[in-house]
Amino acid sequence: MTSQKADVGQQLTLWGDATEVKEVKAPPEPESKRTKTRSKADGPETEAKARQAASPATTQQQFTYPFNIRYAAEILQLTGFVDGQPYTSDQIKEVLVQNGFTEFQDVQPDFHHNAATNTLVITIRGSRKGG
Amino acid sequence: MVKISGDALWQVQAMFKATYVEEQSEDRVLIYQNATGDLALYRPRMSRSVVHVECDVQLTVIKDGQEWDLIADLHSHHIMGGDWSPIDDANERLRGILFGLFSWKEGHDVWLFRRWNGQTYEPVMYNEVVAIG
Repeated sequence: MTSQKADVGQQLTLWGDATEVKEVKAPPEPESKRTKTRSKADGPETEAKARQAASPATTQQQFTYPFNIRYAAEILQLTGFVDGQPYTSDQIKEVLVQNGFTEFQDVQPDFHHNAATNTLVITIRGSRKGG
Repeated sequence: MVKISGDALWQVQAMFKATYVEEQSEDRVLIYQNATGDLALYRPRMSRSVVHVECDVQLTVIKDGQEWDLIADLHSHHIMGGDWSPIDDANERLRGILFGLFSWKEGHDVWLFRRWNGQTYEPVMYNEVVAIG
């Protein structure tokens, strides 16, 4: 990590993940895969199994209310949570959207608990840019 | 509105140019701020190519017991040039965050900035967010 004084009185820090950047280029699909069509043997059961393998059921971490949620440097004032009730990430996202935070509607937020402040902090998974 | 130092932005655009020259890919940098106003530039783990970049974005980072909040999300374009793409539009809808786009396709450095207000994008002028000298 390196630090230097920036020109507006801010302490500027560079966090050192630069060397951990990974470049991922999708390998070309094999010809056999690209041209594969479903055979008559691929019934609904086969399809269901394939779907299950592609998206295995995962157990979401749960967080028991009360907790704070931090977003844009603020602790959000939210309604809809019940004391003592555990909430999954999907349920927390739903409460956020119901409270007008529609920016979380079409993204996949993950929540991590900061025990020191009893605060959930948010990570947006798979945020994409392109041009 | 928080101002980013010209020094910090220069480091970011130098990194963006280096990434394109060395790897022909886009790049992305996140800027965080703590309670005392210090800034941190963070280049997250990402997948990238000449036309896209993708990563997880932590809106708050806990580091050494301090909370650092995301204040800016900057990325580069090299093929498309200095304009927001539809993918950008779909992924830049967090209120309170400054979104920045850097391009040098046309032979000179171009920075564009904007914010999402919950309904639409508001363009932000360079001198509103960058402190020079």
